Amino acid sequence: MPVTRREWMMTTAGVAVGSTLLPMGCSRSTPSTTIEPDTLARFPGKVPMRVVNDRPTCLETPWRYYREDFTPNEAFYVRWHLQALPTDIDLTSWRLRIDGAVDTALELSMDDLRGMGDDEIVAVNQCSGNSRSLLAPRVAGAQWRNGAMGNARWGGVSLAKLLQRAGVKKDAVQVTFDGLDEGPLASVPDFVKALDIDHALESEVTVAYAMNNEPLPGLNGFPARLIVPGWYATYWVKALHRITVLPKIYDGYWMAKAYKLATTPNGNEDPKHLATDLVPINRLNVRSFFTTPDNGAEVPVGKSCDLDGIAFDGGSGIRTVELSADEGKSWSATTLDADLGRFSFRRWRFAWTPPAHGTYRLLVRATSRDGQTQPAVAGWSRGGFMRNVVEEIALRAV
Amino acid sequence: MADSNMNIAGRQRFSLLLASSLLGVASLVSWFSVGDRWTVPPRFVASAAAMTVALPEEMAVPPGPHRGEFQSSCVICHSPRLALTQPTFPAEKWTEIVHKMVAAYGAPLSKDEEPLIVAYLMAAQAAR
Repeated sequence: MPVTRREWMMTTAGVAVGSTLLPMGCSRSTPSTTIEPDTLARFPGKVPMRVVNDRPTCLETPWRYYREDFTPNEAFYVRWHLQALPTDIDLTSWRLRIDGAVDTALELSMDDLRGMGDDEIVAVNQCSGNSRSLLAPRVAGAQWRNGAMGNARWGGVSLAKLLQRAGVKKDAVQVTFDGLDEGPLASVPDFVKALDIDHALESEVTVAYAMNNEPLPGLNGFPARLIVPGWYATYWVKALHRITVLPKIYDGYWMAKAYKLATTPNGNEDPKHLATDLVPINRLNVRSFFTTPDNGAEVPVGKSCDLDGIAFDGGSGIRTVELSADEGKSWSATTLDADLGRFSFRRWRFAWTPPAHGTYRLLVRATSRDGQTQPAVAGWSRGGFMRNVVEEIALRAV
Repeated sequence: MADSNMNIAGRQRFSLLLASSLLGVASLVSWFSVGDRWTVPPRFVASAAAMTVALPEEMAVPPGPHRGEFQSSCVICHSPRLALTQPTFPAEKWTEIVHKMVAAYGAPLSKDEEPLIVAYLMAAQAAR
């Protein structure tokens, strides 16, 4: 059988993120935004990406790709939990099993799945621990900067449709999702996540076989993954092969012990007095970022500078994105691009003119339609989850 | 857990392939690269398709005291990078983390061996 081969490449260097692009917007230069030397590696089907972990593979999206509304598949971040991730899948034998508290257990081939629907949804996938490395005090875990997120158009079949075909029994309480990844030791808990039955029967939850109109990349969950719009990516189980309806709350490790946080807003807790009442992480909080120009860029005094960025929340949609050039004393509304869906990145734009020479610290803050906004001071949680502080950029007017 | 028909492959090769049978003739559906982009026909017919990915070699395990224990008890589940790129932590925090690896994931370490891993991690941390 013919096999396509590509040499992989790994380099350790201080790499200027965005250095391969021309200066964007009004900026005259595109300085390095790299904080410390990065290890970049080229994994199958991916551009060179920052290696957060070789095995299980965790790769961070280079920041420049957020200048696009849809994060390209080849630059979409990667996060696996268990070391033996599926690297060899044959669709002639792959089946998606739906079983448990259902009238009829199903074994669906990819053709069956594709024959059941072509539902599309645009949604942000963000790791629970995105930005973890920026917390103070620092916490253990995969040391992500801000690049453990992405926005894509997901194509597949609504989970509700699949569950209805199997026939959910009246005593159903939760639904679990199991991928093909597995630990190297029997003692490593299998990566299984659960949603409440009411949530599972919402139309937004989808079993996707396509990502931005292409098959899912192997590292992003080929051949199918769960899409849980508005919820953290820990629920978006990759290389999905089994869906089980349960008449009880699932109590496996990855629901009962891991990915839990305080019941306070954004899961915040005091490092010296950890919360005792914990719940599984769930809906995304509201965030916004600068994407153009690069942090640290030089901009011309007295000339209009086109700034842009992205904002998103857990599904109410973005109401406003505001910018401040005076340390948050006053805020100006930015212009929002077309709404691509309430779970999507929303592009904001602002034409800003630096009045005089000097370094300016600009702040960006989003407010969702349900009234959530971003705090001026970063919160903290033991797991390093749900960071959503107001973001900033420094620009040098010359 | 993986079905028996799903083969977890080794990491020697780097390949990503999508084969499809059309009218009974097995043929390679074009995965072709354009610069950095891998693209495939947007609506491919997956009557028979396969994906094979072989991952790059990972970073070597740096030298240090009790390197062997670190290799046999930690690196079996994750690459050394995960441990060696953590923030600077005091020994108490590393002790807590190592114990979590035993309690939650079954890292094969006796109570007496846990401090050996902490010693390796503290030495590696001091060396960077």
